[in-house]
Amino acid sequence: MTPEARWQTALLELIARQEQPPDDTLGLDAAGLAVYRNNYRLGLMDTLKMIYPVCGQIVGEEFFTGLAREYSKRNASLSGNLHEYGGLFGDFLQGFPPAQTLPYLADVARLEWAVHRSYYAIDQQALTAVALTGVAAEHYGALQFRLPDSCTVLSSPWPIVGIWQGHQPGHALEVNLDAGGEAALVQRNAGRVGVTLLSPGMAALLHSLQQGETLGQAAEQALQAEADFDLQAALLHLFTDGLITEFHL
Amino acid sequence: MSHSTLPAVAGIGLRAPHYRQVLDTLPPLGWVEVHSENFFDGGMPLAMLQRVAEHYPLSLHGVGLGLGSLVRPDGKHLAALKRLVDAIQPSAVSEHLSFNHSAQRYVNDLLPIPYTRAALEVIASHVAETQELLGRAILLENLSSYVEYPGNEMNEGEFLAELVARTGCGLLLDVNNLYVNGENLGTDVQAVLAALPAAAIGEIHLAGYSERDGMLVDTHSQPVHPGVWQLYAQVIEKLGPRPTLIEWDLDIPPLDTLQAEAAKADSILQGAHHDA
Repeated sequence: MTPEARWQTALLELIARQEQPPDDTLGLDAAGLAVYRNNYRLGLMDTLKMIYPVCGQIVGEEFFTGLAREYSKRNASLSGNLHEYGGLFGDFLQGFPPAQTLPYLADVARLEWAVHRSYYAIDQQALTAVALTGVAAEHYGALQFRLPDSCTVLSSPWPIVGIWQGHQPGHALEVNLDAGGEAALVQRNAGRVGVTLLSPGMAALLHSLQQGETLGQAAEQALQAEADFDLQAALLHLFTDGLITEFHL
Repeated sequence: MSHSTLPAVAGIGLRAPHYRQVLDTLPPLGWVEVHSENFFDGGMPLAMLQRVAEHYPLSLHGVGLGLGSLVRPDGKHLAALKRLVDAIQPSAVSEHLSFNHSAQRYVNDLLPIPYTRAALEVIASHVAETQELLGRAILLENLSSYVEYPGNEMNEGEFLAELVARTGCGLLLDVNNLYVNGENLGTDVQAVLAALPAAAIGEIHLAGYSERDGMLVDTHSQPVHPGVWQLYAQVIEKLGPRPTLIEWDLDIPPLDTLQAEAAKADSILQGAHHDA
């Protein structure tokens, strides 16, 4: 490594590891280093604040700032694009003792991350049901579908859809935490990201399809989750809702 | 090779709080600039930008590529930039002469590079690679720095001039950055200016700094300071009119405040001698 590359590597480490004292040979002005350390800390914390507004409302600004500080200490940025930072916040909350009094917070964070990624996901053309006209009915069970990158299915033992929707501007929060789990569909329609409640059958179907299982396998999962699941109506709904971008036989 | 087809008038940095107002009312703006990374991939941001580009000359300004990093540029970031440039066909594409990553980590900031011949070899190859991929010349911007590599062999202006000579890139002269370096680091502002090849300067940035612990920090959170206007007027007097951007990224004021700052820049541009 050249001296220049060594200096760059050392400066990056010093900015990110804020407790580490600088080595004199790097020739760093202490006040100058403090500017970069401050930018780094605040930049990552602001990024988390922007991605996780519902978590912020739930815990309050002061506690959220503490969570963001701890997360940013433990999780380095791995991309020059800050919109890719913060994806493990839900996992962090799940394992972070001070957040344990709010057991649903981790899943709310996972939902907010899915919303954030949906907003920035690549544009993909959705198929209409007409695309299946060439497929014989007896082959339907072997079909595999690809969902858009802007779409995520998330199941939780907590009513995450109600919690998320109740924290949107202009909505009243009416959530019964004992009401049981909910499955959320995050998707983008005409550019706008929406979060909707999925029936247990539809959630099982989409989960299964997203994992690359066939329509036959997915239908079985759906029927197990919901005895009177209407597969035909669900399939039509997938197409009219723009949830299928590719299919394979 | 043309680096920029922006008009030699003032434009503004277009940020999220003003997207809707600009698209709904189409105010008179000379041109607009956005941060490239906010429009990577697609969705609503890209659709919005395509509509903006129908009404105004547009400049894409990168903050995350870190071409001055002495490890290879991130291929994924470059590919996303190329998709955006191809989709938008902007009037200018710019990046900073800064670094932001090693093999181990990223710091999402604009860090000052070593101004040495060894670093020049590597960074020139990164600039050339980027221009080849994008199929166009880019503008490289001078930095505001708060630390310096202890073994610098030239000033930033000389380094930029070498990059222009080797790669055919253009330059984005940030007058506020230069001013701030003069105050904070004692940089010889006139020596840096004298080193820059005038014909390569395709764009100018103006912004407001704030003061923190005796240091001028390039926060883009204030009106342009009087000392910076003075330096800008001197630069324009020497170069003739150049596309000039008002940047404001923190505590973003109403759009008309930005337009008023742009009008000040326009009056300086209109008063300049046209010796080019």
